[in-house]
Amino acid sequence: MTQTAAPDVVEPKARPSIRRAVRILSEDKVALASVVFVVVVVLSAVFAPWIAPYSPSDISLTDRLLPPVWSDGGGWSHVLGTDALGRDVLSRIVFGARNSLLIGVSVVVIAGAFGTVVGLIAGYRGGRADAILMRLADAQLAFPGLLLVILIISVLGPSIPIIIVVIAVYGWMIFARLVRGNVLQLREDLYIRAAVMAGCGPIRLMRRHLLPNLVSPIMTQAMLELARVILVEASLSYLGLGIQPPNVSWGLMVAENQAYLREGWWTVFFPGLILVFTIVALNLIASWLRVRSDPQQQQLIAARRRMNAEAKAGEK
Amino acid sequence: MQPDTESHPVREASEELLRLEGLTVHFPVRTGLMGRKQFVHAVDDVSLDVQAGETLGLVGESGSGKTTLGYSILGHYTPTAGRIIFDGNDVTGYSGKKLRELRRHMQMVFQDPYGSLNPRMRIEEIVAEPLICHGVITDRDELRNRVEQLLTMCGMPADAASRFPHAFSGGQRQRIGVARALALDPRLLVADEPTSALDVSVQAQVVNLLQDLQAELGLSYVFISHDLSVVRHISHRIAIMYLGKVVEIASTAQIFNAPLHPYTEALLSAIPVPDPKSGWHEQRVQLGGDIPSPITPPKGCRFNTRCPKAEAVCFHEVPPLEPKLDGHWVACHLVAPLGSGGESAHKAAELSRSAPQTPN
Amino acid sequence: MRDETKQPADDFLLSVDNLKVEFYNERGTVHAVQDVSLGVRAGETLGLVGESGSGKSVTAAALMDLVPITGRVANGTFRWHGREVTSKELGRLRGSKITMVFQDPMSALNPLVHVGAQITEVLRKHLKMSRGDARRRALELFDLVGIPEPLRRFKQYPFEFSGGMAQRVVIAMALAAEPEVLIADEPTTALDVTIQAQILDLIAHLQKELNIAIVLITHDLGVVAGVADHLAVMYAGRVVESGVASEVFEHPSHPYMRGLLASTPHPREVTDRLVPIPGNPPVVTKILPGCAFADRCSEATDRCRTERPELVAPPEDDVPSDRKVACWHAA
Repeated sequence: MTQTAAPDVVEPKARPSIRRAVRILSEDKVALASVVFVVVVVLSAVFAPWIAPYSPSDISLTDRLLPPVWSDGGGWSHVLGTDALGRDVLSRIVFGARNSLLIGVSVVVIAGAFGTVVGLIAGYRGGRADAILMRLADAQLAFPGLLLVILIISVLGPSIPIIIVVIAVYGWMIFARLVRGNVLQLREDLYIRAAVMAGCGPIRLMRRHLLPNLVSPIMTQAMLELARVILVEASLSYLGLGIQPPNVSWGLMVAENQAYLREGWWTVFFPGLILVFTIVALNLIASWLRVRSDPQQQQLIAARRRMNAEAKAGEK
Repeated sequence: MQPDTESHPVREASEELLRLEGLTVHFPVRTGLMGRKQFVHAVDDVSLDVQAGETLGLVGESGSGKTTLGYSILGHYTPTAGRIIFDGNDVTGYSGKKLRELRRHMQMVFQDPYGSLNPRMRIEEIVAEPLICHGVITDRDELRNRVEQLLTMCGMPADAASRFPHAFSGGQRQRIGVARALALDPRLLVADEPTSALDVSVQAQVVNLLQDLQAELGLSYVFISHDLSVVRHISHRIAIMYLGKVVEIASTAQIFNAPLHPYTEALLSAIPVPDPKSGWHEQRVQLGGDIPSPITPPKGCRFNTRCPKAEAVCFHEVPPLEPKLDGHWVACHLVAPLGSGGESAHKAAELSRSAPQTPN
Repeated sequence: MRDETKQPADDFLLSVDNLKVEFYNERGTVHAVQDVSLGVRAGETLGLVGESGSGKSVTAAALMDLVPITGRVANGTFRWHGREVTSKELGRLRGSKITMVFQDPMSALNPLVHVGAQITEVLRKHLKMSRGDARRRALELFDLVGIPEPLRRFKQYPFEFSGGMAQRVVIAMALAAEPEVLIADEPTTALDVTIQAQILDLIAHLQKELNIAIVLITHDLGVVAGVADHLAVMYAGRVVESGVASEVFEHPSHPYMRGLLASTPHPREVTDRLVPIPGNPPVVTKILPGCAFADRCSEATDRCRTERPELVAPPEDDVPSDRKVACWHAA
């Protein structure tokens, strides 16, 4: 009575796993290096008290402006030298990572979550809700973000929670736009329509059908935003409106030591360098994520990989 | 109850499950920056019915409105005019909770087996989704059992439940789609070109499956397709649509043996016959021109731009859909209505047109 | 043994022998075409029939050096007018001597250029016509393919054409350079049935007038029954049956061809139930011994599963010379 087909099952794709991700990552050396770098920075931030050779506020007036280990007068006790107050540059960089990352990640999580929710609602409901929410986003985008952040913080005072909130308030729009755009496209997909026909309510639809497909673009954007926020924090700290002494951040280090550019270039150079590297690394990771989630690119890469493998096997 | 194309099956007095009365669906569309608002006349004044346990084939080319009609029956589009009567209740314009309730009794099988299943969900969840969303079954084990039952009913192995869609071929995915549609035990299935995206050797599997399920569960189908030959195998009655209007409704046998509307004739003769000796190519009714735009449909009979038999009246008056023979409704000025003595003329035509039937 | 299966290559305009095409993805290699030999003569239509995974479109792509970058031609001897050529040389003939028509006319036409210019471009590039001559010829071509009001249509953009009309434009472009071979890959699949009939008419008519060779690729047996002179049925990357079209339809030898016929709904004949072929058309990722159709074939025996049958003439005496079947149980 019922049909029994002889199922000719196509070989299923290997389940995504960490090992597989690492293998794929290792093909793109640049992306791999970036990920390693960011991981190192994050780990040093987390384990700062155990990694840093000194406390960041250890003042030692006898060891002022010692150069890095490879220069004359430098030593292994202060690998990257010391600043004008004798504080170890390396330790300050490690602890600075803490603050920079704390602010960066907090902002991205808050702005990302809020923006995603807004984008979901706007894209899914469309109509008036969409119009209102998007006009709100447009209105905020019309203002020069950084200037307003500076203005508000200078009024409210630069404490870490305020910094996080203010930067987040000016960071959600890009997530909202991104998610909305993706949702508008996804809405037309047949399986969404099928889910609606099956009686799927909006909550479940967003949770089970839309969100999983949004993870990839959101993650990519999050990397980029993280880079941007770290830079914003650095700028604020440089202007004196961010992290306040005795706390340390990379931007603050640059600000404090710019007067010593001639006698102690390392005090400005290394914090600046780590800042640049971190931002570049995050951008490269975002770029790699974007390529990874493009199926056509993936096909090309996979094909090339296989062709090389076949060629090698043929040579043996 | 298989469609018997040699003689009409006398269906036991079955109830009417679905009736459409003057259903009209127009979509607004704006042309250009300053354009006047225009409308796509997707479905215009369509009246038809589907009896319990039968399959109504809905056939047409692009622009015919058949897909829009299918979706409108399920409440996806709100009709501009007309009524939808399901199981005796007027369900026109249902939305929100009422619509969700209604959807327990009518479901859809979609055209694209590759797009209609969420690639990131396991088969178990896909098939169980209607049950989850309506809160019909909450116990995990019961859910799993029901899913297995549905999959088996549709010819899929029970262990398919734990896999993802990409592990399956088009035909298998379509079976999964059917299993999902059956989850809530609906009475009506609207199948939107369920075989068009499948290979020929697999199409037959799905068509046979649907036939078997109908016999087993007493389902009614609205089977939408552009392919008359596939529709023939599964439909009891067929409605031919052109540019938003129904031009002919009759039993499958009547449509194939004695089509009355010129469009139906042309459509039938245009179907490629897998037999070089049939000479279908040379003998077919030549239809020139293109299908007109549904935004500005022709005045009078919409087929007048291409009809080889069009006369003056066809350009002025819209032909009503009327019974011309017993159970055979046609919208054409040139076909004499029932009881006007024109029957004899058409009976003669019927005899001359029916090709000698190949015995089964 | 091999020589018996080779077609007389003398009168083929375009032919390929022992074609092998592979595609690569992260899961492995897809053997899309395994060992295909076929050819087409002037004034004739070769119907290349198969379902998904059969390799029919890839075969055509190989004939025009259009295999996508994710794959490559691993083997194959190409011949043009009987003379051996490389795949690249065939590629150079593409657009002039070998032209093609694909399934979706809209993606073959540049949406930003009016159609007249798209045809004159072909004429000026390949036939080196002057602007005036090219325009005149383009209008003639519009007429030839049955586009009404050619002057008005000349200046229109692709979006102003319906599917059927756009396909006519594409056919006009394909004919503009006076090709010897036209490869049509599912040219009517995306079109409505009544329009499909018009286009098939047109193709048949044009072939008679211009004496070109046509390779018509389709999965629809009805389409090929109406227009093909010769038929090659492909399954899992190989040709399983070939010969004169009317012959193959009347006396299908290979169980797959018979299965296809049984599962194709026939608009004229009454059958109770369609007879499907169980299972699904395969995607060949591993070349296994034996016949690829064995696991779906109702007549398969042990031999079928271990030894692959060659494409040879069937054993009877009274059979036309170019009829071939790859089956141990050829009827």
